[in-house]
Amino acid sequence: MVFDTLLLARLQFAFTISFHIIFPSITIGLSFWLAIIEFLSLTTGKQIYVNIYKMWIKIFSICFTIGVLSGIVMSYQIGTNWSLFSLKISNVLGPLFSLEVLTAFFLEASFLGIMLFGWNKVSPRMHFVATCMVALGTSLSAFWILSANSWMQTPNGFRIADDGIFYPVHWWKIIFNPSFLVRYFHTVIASHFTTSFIILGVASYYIVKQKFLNEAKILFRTAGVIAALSSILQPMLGDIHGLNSLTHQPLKVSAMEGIWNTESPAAFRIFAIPNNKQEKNDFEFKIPYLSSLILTHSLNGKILGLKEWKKEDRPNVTVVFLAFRVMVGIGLAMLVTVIISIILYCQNKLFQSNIIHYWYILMSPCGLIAVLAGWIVTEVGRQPFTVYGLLKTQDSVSIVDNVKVLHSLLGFVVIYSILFVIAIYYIFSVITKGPVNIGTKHNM
Amino acid sequence: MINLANYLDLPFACACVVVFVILVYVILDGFDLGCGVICIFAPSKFHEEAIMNSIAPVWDGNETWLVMAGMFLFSAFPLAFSIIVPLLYSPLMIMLFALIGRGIALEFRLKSLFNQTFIWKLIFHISSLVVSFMQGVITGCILSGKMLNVEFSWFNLLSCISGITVVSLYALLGIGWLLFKNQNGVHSWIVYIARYVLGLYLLAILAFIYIHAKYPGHYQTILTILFVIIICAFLFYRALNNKTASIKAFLLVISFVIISFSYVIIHMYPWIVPFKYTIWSAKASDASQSLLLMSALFCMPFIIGYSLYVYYIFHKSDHESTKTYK
Repeated sequence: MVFDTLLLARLQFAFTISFHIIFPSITIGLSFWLAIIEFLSLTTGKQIYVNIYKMWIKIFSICFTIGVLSGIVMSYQIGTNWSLFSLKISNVLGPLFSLEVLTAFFLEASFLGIMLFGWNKVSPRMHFVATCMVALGTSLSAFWILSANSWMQTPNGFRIADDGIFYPVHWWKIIFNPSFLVRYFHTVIASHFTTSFIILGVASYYIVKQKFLNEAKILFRTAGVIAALSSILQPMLGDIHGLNSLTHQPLKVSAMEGIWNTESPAAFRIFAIPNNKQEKNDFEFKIPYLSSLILTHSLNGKILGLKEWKKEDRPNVTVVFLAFRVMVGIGLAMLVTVIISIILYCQNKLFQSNIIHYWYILMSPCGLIAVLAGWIVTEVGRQPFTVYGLLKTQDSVSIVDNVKVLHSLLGFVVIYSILFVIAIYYIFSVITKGPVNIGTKHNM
Repeated sequence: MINLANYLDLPFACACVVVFVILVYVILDGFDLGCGVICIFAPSKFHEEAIMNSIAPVWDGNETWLVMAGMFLFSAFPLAFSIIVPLLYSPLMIMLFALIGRGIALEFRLKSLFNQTFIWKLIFHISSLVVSFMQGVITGCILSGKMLNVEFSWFNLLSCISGITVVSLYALLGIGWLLFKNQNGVHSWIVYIARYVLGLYLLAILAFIYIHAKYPGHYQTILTILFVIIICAFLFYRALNNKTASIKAFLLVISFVIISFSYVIIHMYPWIVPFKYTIWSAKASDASQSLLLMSALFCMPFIIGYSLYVYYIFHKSDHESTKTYK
């Protein structure tokens, strides 16, 4: 493996974006949940909701700030390391990124100040408005970023000039490109699902430790509803996403399914290790008809094999295939957990310390792993292209000395690792301290 | 698609927006970076707290203007963006690392981690210093007009002096801001260091102009600029001694910013990549610039509106308020 500028730039991008995505995945769901908690505190007038809010806002603040800082890195990295990509597609994607900053980023960054520090300075209602604005900002950010990212997957509404530069032809088609809406809702619901499990993990911790039991019940009830709704919506969205990908990116679907030769009907590989060199799967364990059923909703659907495409146009099948199974596997585990929890709730056994609480504690970060796995599927699955089918990654990279990229990559690894450890340490200390009443000065 | 190029000089209008965004960024993030630069000299914890509390609720919104500047440059002048940014790889990466450091120091300062606020103050100071210096370096490199040379190195005399100029300018902005906020009890210390910072800024900008200005056509404008700077410096010095809530000092520092920036503009125009591409040759497509201009013009009033609202909410310099959410 030659550590040239291209490989190092890809490694750096993969590392920085993976670190970054963890935090918006938390803040989109958490800001929404915090708005619900604050709404409940305003309508019921009970202090317990205030205490919960004030504890979780500390966690939110850390995640939001790290999300912002790592996000700034992304916006400049597109220039430092991917300047050819910038040059070729900025006519199309530039306005989308700018609209993200103009409509969403400013909104959330400004109102965050009131959310964190404006307690005695604005009315309780205005504070609630600030919380809602931040929640709106996070979802709006996701809107524009995913529109741009989806355009890279299913480009539309553009033309390419002789000099290789992309020009916009129809803004509506660019923004609402074929895969955008399904990917947007899939990502947003994923965030809600992820955050609900983090909250449920914390609530379970309190139940196991037999402290803050009333707060734990509120956490369970609120986050539980979100988890339950997400567990219904997310598989449906995943299914629609699969159908969408089959139409617009069949090569990626074949990689996800590990199907090398065209099959009709197509079997579902529960487990395999795809062999990129030999163009086959090792250790394959499959169920017949199931892939056709899932992807085409018919038992005889034809799925094209990877060999239908040129080898240099295919992504790394091993990575895409395994990451997809990780994501779906975790999703199913979360769904089963929710079902069992509902059963226990109906039996009034959910709030007594139970083995399921230990399971929830274990499962609390699993949403994040699923999110990362999902992003690996979609982004590695898009390779070797940055704009699917039209612009290759190797033609997108900046011409920079590879030593510089190595240095910046190492810098990010060191700084982000330290940051991650400090953040986790702090978040754990907030959780163990719990939602204590801070004082009478802050009545709402 | 709407094409505004039929009605106005679109690249020029977009360039005006970029200049506006950068100017607002320099003023807003300038003062919170400036607070970071001077915080290390704070004589007591009380002073430290006053400084940090004044910027805690607004620094995140201020920093957003930097992202806006970068994204707007990327969107409106992609050729310039794709040429300049990789050439400035090292200073930009160092700046990004320092921005992370600054954000983290501010975020963790209030948490009782390690029980040692000194560490966070040090990180905050060094990060602010590095960010300011690197922004100066970047400006100096672009102004030098030598970026496209094979021998180009970002660390040279001009860029270092430019860095010092920006550091001292931001420190002045921080001082102006603190005077404006009239934080309890820090007034005398601020006034004391202001003289030194002002001196440093004047030295730096004179050195910069001396090294940089080589173009005969600009001598008249440079002399005017110097004249205005000296007048403002004198007025600023006088305003320092005025004890009442001094927005005058802050406004005068903002004048320093505008003057320094006008020097940059005068030298740059019409180039955006000196001396290869003008703003007209590096522009994005008309459709893109049209959408960009319309979005910016539409959204700016809202952004400025709610930003002013947030500043207004925190106007009463309440020393205690930013500790409440512990």
